[in-house]
Amino acid sequence: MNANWSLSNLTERINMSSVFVEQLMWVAVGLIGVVTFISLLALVLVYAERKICAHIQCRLGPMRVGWHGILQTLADGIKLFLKEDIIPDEADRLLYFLAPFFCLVATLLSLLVIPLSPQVQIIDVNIGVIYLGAVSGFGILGVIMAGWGSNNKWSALGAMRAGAQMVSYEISTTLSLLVIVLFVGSLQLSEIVLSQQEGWWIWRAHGVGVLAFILLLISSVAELNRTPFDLAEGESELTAGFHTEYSGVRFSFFFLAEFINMFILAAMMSTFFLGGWMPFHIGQLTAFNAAMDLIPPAIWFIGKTSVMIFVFMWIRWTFPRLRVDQLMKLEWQVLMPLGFVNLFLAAIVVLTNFYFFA
Amino acid sequence: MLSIIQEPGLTYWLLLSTVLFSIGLYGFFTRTNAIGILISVELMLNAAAISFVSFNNFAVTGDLDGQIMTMFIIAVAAAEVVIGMAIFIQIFSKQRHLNVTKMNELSR
Amino acid sequence: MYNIETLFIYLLSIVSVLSAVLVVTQRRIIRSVSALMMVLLVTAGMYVILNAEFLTGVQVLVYIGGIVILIIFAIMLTGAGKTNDDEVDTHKKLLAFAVSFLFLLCSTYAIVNTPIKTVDTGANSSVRALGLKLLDYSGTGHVLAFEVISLLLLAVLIGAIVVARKTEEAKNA
Repeated sequence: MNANWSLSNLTERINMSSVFVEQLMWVAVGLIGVVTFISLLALVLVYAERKICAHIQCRLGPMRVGWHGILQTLADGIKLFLKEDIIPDEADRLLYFLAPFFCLVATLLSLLVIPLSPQVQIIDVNIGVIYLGAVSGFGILGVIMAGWGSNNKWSALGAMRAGAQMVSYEISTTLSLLVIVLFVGSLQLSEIVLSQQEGWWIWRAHGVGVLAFILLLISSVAELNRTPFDLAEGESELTAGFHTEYSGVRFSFFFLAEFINMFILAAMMSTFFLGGWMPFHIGQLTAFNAAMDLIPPAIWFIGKTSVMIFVFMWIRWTFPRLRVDQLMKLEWQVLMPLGFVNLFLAAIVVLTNFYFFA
Repeated sequence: MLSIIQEPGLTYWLLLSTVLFSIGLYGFFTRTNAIGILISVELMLNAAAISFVSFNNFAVTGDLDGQIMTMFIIAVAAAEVVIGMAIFIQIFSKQRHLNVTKMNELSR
Repeated sequence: MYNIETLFIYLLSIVSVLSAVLVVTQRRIIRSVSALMMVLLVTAGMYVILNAEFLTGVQVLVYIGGIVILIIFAIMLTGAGKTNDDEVDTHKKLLAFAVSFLFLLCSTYAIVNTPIKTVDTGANSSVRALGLKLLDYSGTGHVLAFEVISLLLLAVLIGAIVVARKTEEAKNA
């Protein structure tokens, strides 16, 4: 092979430093890791949802494919891939094709900044909180483009409702995250996790933290378009909402994006309020703390996130659906004023140093 | 002239911002849909914001006035789009079109 | 002479200019808005190169995640996406092009011939410094503008609701 075209020679010719190439390779490895993670996560989450739903409804769920239905998601995925790709007649092709990618790219970009453990955080931007809000805007754009591009009245209506709902509840989400940013003093996600070394924010920031946690829980459920807030894709109301005209692989993108979004919001709740990968320490009990430290941080993170995902699924199969005007009223007349009052109180609490283990 | 392109300094960024601004100006004169005019105005505001940030980066370092001005530009652009869209929706509910060349009477 | 940062700058500039041309020439409004979103995204990339990372987040969050979505909602609610834009006459287009080009020439002449003293160190763009500067009430701070902007946003919120609501005769009609 001609020596002129070795990698180091090439980088010298276009004056790229080898450090940059190495960073680029690490980011590529990170991306491949994230894609694998997404696939595995989707397998587990879809199966978990169906099993939990079934047991809450006093039945058994998938039991035939594999032992107790473990391979059910795999079978569903194969079925979706083999379906015929139908494109509606006068659909706006650009928007119709781009919409699933926007939703999926939004979830991929959000996954890149979640701190799973002290060593595993793919990119640590110093504006982490704003970055998370910004890329969820791409998800909203994907939903609106899907509804508009399908050239279907019901899809357009569903997309507008879903878009309006997601935009509204993003305000409450950001307001509750801002409470924790006030306490921590930094927007960086790794800093937020490190600041919880002496206690998780849900009990360190007492009343304000618990209220912010509840607000974040309700807003996350609404942001994910899940029951009790899933009027946009309610099966009995609007056929299937904005993804009515999508079939096969394109539908699987939306489906995947919804479940990974659930993981991301649960991860956000556990990072901001439940300590991320920090173990559960109690004050001065050193033996207890040492025992807790034996469990690796990644397991702590996965455990907390799983608890939050279970809470999401529990809420879904327990409450009835809200009407669209009740939904909007809840956000604009209840949750947003509460969020602002909470932020104001949090500012007072921070300024007077009135939180525990200060 | 070539050195401006080969080593992008302040002049390159200002020229880029001016090109974007004049493209937005052309759109402002040419569009007949009211929303299209607003989109061109957004393009012009964005170009002005780029020039502020590039001045902040190259000429006035250590001080952050350019970035703060850009934040204000973004806030004012958002406010303007909100009011513009509210007005357009109200106009549309009466006239059923948004063609500015046909909107030359106060009432029908 | 060419390093990776310069390559990125060229790429972003070309994409932004092409998308801006698409914004002003596409007759279908939805295509125009999509091209506008591309321009705003590329601008966010430029802010990273210009050492303004916080503005990148704000640009994507507010401009793309707010303004573009609002414009798309307005397009969907006014049916502007169904009908194509009417074209203006060709001589008006030529006049507009001439005016814009003349503006471009004058500005270019002014920019190229004005010596501006530049410093080579980048901006200090920590979020903390931005926040302190924004709330600084000394002579060089911007707290007055901050308060005025919040009043403006409140006025816009109320005004938009008042302007866009259904009036009495529309409800009875």
